[in-house]
Amino acid sequence: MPRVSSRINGKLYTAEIDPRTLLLDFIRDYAGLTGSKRGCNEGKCGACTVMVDGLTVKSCNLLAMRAHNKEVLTIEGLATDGHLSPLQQCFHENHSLQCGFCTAGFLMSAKYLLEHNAKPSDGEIRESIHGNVCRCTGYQKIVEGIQAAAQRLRAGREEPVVAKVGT
Amino acid sequence: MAYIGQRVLRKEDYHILMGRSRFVADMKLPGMLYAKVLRSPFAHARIKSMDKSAAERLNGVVAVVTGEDIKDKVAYWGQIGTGWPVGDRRALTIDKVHFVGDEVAVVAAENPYAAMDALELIEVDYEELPVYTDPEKAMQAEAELIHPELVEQRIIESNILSRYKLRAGDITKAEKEADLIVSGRFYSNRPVCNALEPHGVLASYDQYLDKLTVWSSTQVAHLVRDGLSEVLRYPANNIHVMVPDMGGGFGSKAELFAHEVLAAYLSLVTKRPVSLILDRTEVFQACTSRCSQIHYAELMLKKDGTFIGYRSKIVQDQGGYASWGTQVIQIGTHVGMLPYKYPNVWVDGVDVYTNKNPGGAYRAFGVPQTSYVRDSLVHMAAVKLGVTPENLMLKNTVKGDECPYTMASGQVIDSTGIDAAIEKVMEEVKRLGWQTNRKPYQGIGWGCTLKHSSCRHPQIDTDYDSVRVRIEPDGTVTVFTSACPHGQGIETTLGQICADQVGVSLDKVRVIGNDSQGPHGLGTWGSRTITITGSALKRAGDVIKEKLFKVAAFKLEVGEGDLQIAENWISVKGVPSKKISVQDVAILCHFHTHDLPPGMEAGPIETTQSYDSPTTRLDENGRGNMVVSYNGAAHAALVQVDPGTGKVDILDYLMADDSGVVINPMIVEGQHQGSVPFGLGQALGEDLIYDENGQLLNGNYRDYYIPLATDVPDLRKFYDCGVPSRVTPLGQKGAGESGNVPPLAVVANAVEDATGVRITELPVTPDKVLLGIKKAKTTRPGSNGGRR
Repeated sequence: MPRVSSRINGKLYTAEIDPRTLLLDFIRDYAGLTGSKRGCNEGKCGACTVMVDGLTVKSCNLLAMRAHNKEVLTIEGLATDGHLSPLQQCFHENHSLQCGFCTAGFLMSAKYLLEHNAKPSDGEIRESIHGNVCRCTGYQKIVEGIQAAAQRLRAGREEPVVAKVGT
Repeated sequence: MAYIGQRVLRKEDYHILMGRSRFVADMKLPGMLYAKVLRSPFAHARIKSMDKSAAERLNGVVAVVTGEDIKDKVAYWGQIGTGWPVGDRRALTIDKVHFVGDEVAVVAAENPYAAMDALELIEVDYEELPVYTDPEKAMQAEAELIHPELVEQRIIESNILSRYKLRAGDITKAEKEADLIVSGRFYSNRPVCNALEPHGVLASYDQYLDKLTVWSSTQVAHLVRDGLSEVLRYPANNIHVMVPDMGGGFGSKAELFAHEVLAAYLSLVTKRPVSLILDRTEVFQACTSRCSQIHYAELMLKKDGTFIGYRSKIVQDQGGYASWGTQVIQIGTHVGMLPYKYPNVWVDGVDVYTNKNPGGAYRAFGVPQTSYVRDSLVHMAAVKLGVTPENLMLKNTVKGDECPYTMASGQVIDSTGIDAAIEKVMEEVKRLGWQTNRKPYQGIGWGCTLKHSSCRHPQIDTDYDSVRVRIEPDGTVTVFTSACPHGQGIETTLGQICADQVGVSLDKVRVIGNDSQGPHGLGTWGSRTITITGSALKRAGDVIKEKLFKVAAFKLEVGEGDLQIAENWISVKGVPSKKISVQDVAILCHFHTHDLPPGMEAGPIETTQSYDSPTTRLDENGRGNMVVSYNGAAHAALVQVDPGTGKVDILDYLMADDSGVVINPMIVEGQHQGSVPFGLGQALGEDLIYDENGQLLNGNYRDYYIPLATDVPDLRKFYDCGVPSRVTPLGQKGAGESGNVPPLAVVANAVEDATGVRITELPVTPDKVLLGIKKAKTTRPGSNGGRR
């Protein structure tokens, strides 16, 4: 059986796996990280969305071997020392989650958007999450949560600039 | 009232956001087996023979079980939905299959792959039978029986499994006196709830403790516990059902399912934990959907627009098992006809077995089906009378200042903001200039509802829930509830109610639900938790406070009437320095029992309280009031129809709601915003599609389209028109299901407004719109959309 090594949330996981193993199953069963969920197993619902080398992928649609020697980021890797990231915090403050089964995938898609577009319009936010299904929120408060995070991240980035002007 | 009404952030969020949520598929136990179900590939067939020997020989397979194997060990169920002496449901079917996906056999294996491989080795010889996908054909006398065993037992006579009747006033007289009668044949479709977490269960039997522990993704932990006990003939107090984190339900997880029985049975026989997680296609095939219905309906009016009669014949497409179907017609019709006042009503309904997936509970139960028909007729009548539909709605709806108002069919509207909600939407439509700025092929559609805030189900004659509240030795408060929350934020909102009722700060309260070892109740569905469980909690809070005061008064040497409580402190009115903390009272109760007032028992301050709504059963004419309080919604949409493709886009959406006293406005708004896309999805496309052989053509997410963020309009235009209930102890009403009722009529009405095409068969798909436009052009040359 082939040997796969992946760095998931900064930690190296190595295992001999059945070549058919999906990345989602590698993450859940070998790394024991169950925050990424299986809603459809055919790449449509987005609950399994993770980042591989900075790109979002549906981990149920990728063989684990394709993530060999790559950096994987899952929902468990978003917080720092138990503190929610600004994006997670904005999901909390804006009631962007109800049952929470889709949340990991939305956080990943939103993270990717905000890394590439610091000031997205509502329409751009909707485009960026249209690979994720949420059946609880009607997406409204997810859009608002992401918009709030964009603002907070911009404020965070602009802070030192403002300080410089002040002195 | 410190917390009720506040936008309190949810207690439920943190572990989910950290990736530490635990759904049943995330759970593993030592020695756990993986089970998979063999499902029928035919819609209607006799099982001639089965051979499971090859599957049993496969490496890793631990058990292969067929219907024949468990015939005498696992009983029928389903009586809760029908009121019959026996049910129609088996964990594994025995001699015939009733729809594609019906459970035929189950395998437990050391790993999921072995279980899946084993399914392919089970040989089943089927003899195909005539397939009924049309309930109007299935109900004919000569039709092949789908459940002959029920006919043999004289429970039913044909494929009609139940009949519904409602009579009020004199419909014949109304027909004679009407100046206008609008009518039509309407079809409402068959969407699936699609809770994002597929159904699943983990069962673990300990033979030495003789205890069965079950974790299931269910809205009804107690009903599952009681059902398993009955079906497996195993004592209820040996079964412990828990619900871990749960990824949505919307009604689709509100009954005992075969997979739950199978996992429990396999664990009992293998004496090992058994995990059975359904895949998405299995959920489409075999878990419940909305019951599709055909209505032949008429609305009778005077020329001034007053509704004087409503007559309807309903045929419901039940699918292969009865599930909640009988009550979907009963409740759906009785509540779905609201909010209008008609003095004369005549409805006959039949629920018919067909060879499709079982129809069952689905957000708002049967209310959307009838509401779609009702508000379509209202719009059609408005066009004929030359008035606006919104004015016709408003004219005939029950008004807040008339309440309490008893309808001819017996519904008691204790209070309502529905008239204010319609007026609010009218005001906003005007303010936004939808009408004045309208472009070609744009249309405005209206719809409204009064929706039950919980309901006394006719066949089970109960509408109760219970809570146990306990003050712990450190002054914290634990609320054990029969509720099974799965996204509604109930730990937060019940916490808000408890904190206010007892007089403690919210951080001291923990709400525990989802557990059959908690106080008994019916679970979370039908907008019942805030309404019913919240009312039980109000009662419990009052009792707890009384007990706290009794101990505090004795200690402080004052009368109980001199005391007040706020934020964890009990103090003497007017003498704030004379006080004792809730924690100190709790310590007295637990550890210094000589300091308790005479007659007071030692031990925690604790009480169990229940609440059953003060509602009635229906009489022989179907009249009565099953609902403690009705919550209301009025919606309007501006749509754009593409005359080239028939595609309908929702450009803007308005909603105004009466959810009574709102416990947490953030959560209530989220519930309304979440339910609208459910309705839009059903209106515009969501539907199980079966071919004439009963094969499901779209049982996956590639072929069944769920609205995405790019399809759903901005839903910020939400207006609270809440009026407190006069009956519920806190004035509260439901909120989670009114939002997906109006969109069906809203979309159909807007499309007619835009194109002149009346769609009477949901969903409103581009092909129907396009054909309608083409037909209108040939019959009405020059028509280019927009009529008003």
